[in-house]
Amino acid sequence: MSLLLIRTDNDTQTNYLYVWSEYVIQEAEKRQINIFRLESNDINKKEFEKRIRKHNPAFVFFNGHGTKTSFLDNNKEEFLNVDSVSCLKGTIAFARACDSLKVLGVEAIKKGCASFIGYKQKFWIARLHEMASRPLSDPVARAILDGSNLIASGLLKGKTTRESVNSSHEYAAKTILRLISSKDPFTSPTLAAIIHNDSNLDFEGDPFAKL
Amino acid sequence: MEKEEFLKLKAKFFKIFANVPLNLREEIIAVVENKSISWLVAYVEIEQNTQIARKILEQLKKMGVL
Amino acid sequence: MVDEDIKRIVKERLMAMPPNISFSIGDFGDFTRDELIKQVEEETEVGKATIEMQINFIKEMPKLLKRIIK
Repeated sequence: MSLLLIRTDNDTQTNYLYVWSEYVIQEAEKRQINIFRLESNDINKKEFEKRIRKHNPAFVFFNGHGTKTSFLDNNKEEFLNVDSVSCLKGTIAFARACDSLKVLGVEAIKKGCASFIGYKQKFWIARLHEMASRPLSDPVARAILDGSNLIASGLLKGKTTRESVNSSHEYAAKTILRLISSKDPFTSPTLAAIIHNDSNLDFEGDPFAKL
Repeated sequence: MEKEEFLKLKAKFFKIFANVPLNLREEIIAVVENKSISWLVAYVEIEQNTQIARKILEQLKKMGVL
Repeated sequence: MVDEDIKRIVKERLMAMPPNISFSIGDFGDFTRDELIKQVEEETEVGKATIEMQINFIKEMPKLLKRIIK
């Protein structure tokens, strides 16, 4: 079983996603799952399709910018879109990216993707300005990114698509409960981002699909 | 705003307010006459039927909160 | 055209946030609190997304406990 991890790092947001996906890598390594990485400026359509063909990953995990119909590389060019999404056939895909669930995700399922987890609107990250160079130490962003990491790590642990998504929803609920009992000055922006992202998180395809 | 609508929105507000977590009741939810209004301030104004109570309720209705 | 009352509410809410908060909003980019206030004032795409997000948050506040305790 293998994971194809794709992560861009062309701006602050994608850098946060890049760094925070390290926890998912650790989970995969713990379970001795083969990890194939496509990262930074190496990402393009040709390389992506080559890796898919060569490694036949069970799980494709994309961290970066998305649109309703595509995933974007470091130069904000499409490397996967509705015309080429059949390459996700047979995989479980998780897009930690904006917007891609309702069009790209739906099309992916039609073209044979087992399940596609993603977001219906923009993915917001509230963060501390001074932590930009140390994303893993950012307590505001942690509350937001830990929850979405649970989806990927849940799948790696053998949970179904629905179970993995639900674990993220449950984590969001617990985090909301903690925050609404807190006098932390960052509560409001953190809550706003968590609620927004959690409301837009969903999946298409087989709820029982698992790795 | 007609009196009947005011009373209806007032009742709706109190019901909704009761479910706002305590630590979020200082969150700003309206701006009337250049003054920021939190859930708590809105409660007092609406409960006391003050001049700005109607304006607060109008804004909350406009936003879809009520 | 966004309602002026709604713009004012969102701007006041942003001004009440700590000044060292930033928001990364997908491919729209990265914005400090003060930059977002400007985007809201100018009713840019980012500003409108911010308004929608903040107004939804206000609407969600009374429903949070129901969301948590299922």
